[in-house]
Amino acid sequence: MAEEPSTQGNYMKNRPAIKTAFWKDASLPSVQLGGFLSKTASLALRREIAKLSFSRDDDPINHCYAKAPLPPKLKTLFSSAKVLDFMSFIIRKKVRRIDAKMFRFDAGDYALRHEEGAQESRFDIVFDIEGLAAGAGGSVIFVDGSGLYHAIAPSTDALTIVKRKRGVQRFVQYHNHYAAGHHLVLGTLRVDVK
Amino acid sequence: MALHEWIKAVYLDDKKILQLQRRFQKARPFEHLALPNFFVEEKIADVLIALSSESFERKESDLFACSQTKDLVSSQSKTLVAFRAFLSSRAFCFYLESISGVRIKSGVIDMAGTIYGDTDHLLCHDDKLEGRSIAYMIYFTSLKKKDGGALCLYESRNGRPTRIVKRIMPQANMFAFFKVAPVSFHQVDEVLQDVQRIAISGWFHG
Repeated sequence: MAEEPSTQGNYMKNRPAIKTAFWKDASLPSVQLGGFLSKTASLALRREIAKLSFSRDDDPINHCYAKAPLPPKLKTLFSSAKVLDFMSFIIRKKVRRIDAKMFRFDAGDYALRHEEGAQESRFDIVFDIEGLAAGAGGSVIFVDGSGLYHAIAPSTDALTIVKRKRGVQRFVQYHNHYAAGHHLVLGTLRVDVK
Repeated sequence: MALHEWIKAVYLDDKKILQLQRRFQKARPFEHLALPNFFVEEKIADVLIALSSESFERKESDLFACSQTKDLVSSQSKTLVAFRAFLSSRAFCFYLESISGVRIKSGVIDMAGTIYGDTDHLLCHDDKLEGRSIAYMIYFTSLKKKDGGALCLYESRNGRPTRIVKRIMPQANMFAFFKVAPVSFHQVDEVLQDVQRIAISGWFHG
């Protein structure tokens, strides 16, 4: 079994402040935790990702990207009691599991918004592995068609938790010719319905 | 409104129209044409000058990034008003109908100016919307392959786009158009250099 990568200790210690930050914007509760993993864990994860075998998935009217199975270190992290408990505390709901997928966006890649996942309220996670240079595109953007526009700009080793209300759609902005090899983990927190 | 005032004589000959009709019908992956040096030079030069005085707004979404004018129906420019009146005239709509075999309603046209700069793009879509019959583009700048910005046409299978099989590089004074259909999947390649891809584009309605 893969060893659980360690997260930055201060995030675990500052849960109340993170929870407050998360719920601050009622229209789209969210919080971005930059440098989520310890430096050692982040490097180890990147080494693991470099060994993954990505396969192209091009469906031009919906998306163009490469995908791969979640690396073992992330699988272990996302199923650890510590992380599930942390997420549960932030979102005020019991998180049973995290369903996540690993993607690589190269120059020219994107994922358009679609109805899937917008029919009901849900909690998304976006884990950006290495970020991108400014101006290269690649933000993860949440919109509701009536003015809500929230962009998560590419950022190294950043975990973002977002509460999507019903009707809010997500898309991954076009990666332009200044972008290369942007690894993103996109997922959903599976919670107890109460 | 006389066609020859705006369109070069070479495109108005009956034989040429028949030839264009055949080319349009045979065009793959879907019916389209790209006609270089189409408009009378002095006229199209005036249109470009008038267009450059319009206000372009930055537009970005999941599908595109570019700068665009409002619909030119609201333009105060005499030149643009005249150009719009020509494109939507009975004579020009009949000319386009003759080539495309697609029924076109005169007097109704969507028309906006666009500028694509470095990194701007329009991703794959089909343009299908109630009433649209022909999509058209009039280019004012010429781009080289290395600049990007080509109009790309997709082949499709089972109603879904599969791969780009044709790239049309914009050339100043080119008039390009295609029949809007459930499979008219197309995109504008990302502009890869610090160049401006200037066009007027929109739709004729049926």
